[in-house]
Amino acid sequence: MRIECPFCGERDHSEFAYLGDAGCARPAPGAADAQARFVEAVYLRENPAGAHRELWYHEFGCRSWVQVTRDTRTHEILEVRLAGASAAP
Amino acid sequence: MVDSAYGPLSPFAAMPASAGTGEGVVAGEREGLGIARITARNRQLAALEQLVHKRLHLALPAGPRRMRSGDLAAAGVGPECWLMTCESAGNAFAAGLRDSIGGHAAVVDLSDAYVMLRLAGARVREALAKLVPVDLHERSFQVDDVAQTVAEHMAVTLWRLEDTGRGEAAFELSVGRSFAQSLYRAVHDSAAEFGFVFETR
Repeated sequence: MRIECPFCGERDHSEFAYLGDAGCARPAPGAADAQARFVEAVYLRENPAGAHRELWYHEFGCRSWVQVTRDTRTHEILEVRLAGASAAP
Repeated sequence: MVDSAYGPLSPFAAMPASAGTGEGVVAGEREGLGIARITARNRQLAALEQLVHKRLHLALPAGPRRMRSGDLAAAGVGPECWLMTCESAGNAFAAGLRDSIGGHAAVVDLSDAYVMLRLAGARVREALAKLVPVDLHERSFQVDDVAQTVAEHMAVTLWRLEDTGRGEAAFELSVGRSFAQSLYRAVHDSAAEFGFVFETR
């Protein structure tokens, strides 16, 4: 599997470290149902057969966090963009 | 102890200076180099670019490329982040940078943190092909192209220099100082079949 890093170009996935689901927002800790929401955010994740947005860290490259959309059935990389403040949501 | 002047010690001094026969790959250490990483402060990229252009007469490259101006060079190593080098400037380089552009960039002195090897020779691409998972073919990796990648589990930053006077390819590789001997060993072993020579000045 090769990932097209927005800065470095196409690199082997072994240069990257995998974090996981990119669509997982941290719940508000002060909310009344915060505990239930945290359980959901931490443990109850979607496991799609198909396109999955996920965060990878280009550890042995430009050290950027990237948001990768990957087909979990074929490992086809559909989109890669820089994560973080400068990236569009 | 009568000798109180501690000079710098090359990490390669005790390493085997040659392998095989011939000079397919010729290596040397880049000594005395001032090395600093600069990162644009939040939303100050445009201001930093202007300041660097005005004070250092250097255009910061947008991607993984290297720009040179006299003794000075800036290699793009990440978004809004550059590895800057200056010949023979040592630690004073980063201190000077901090004074001149520190308002718009975080400046970290890496002169002692990194060790840099210069590799040249007719077989240097073949030796490096065994170490890094990046295509270094002359059309794919051009003069002043920069890559940060991995060689035998070590994070390395490398760029291509102008070909030597004999028309042979040349590269510079840097690693953290504690990896210096491991990188040297990797290059030495990889280049042995082509003939490896380490030149000291």
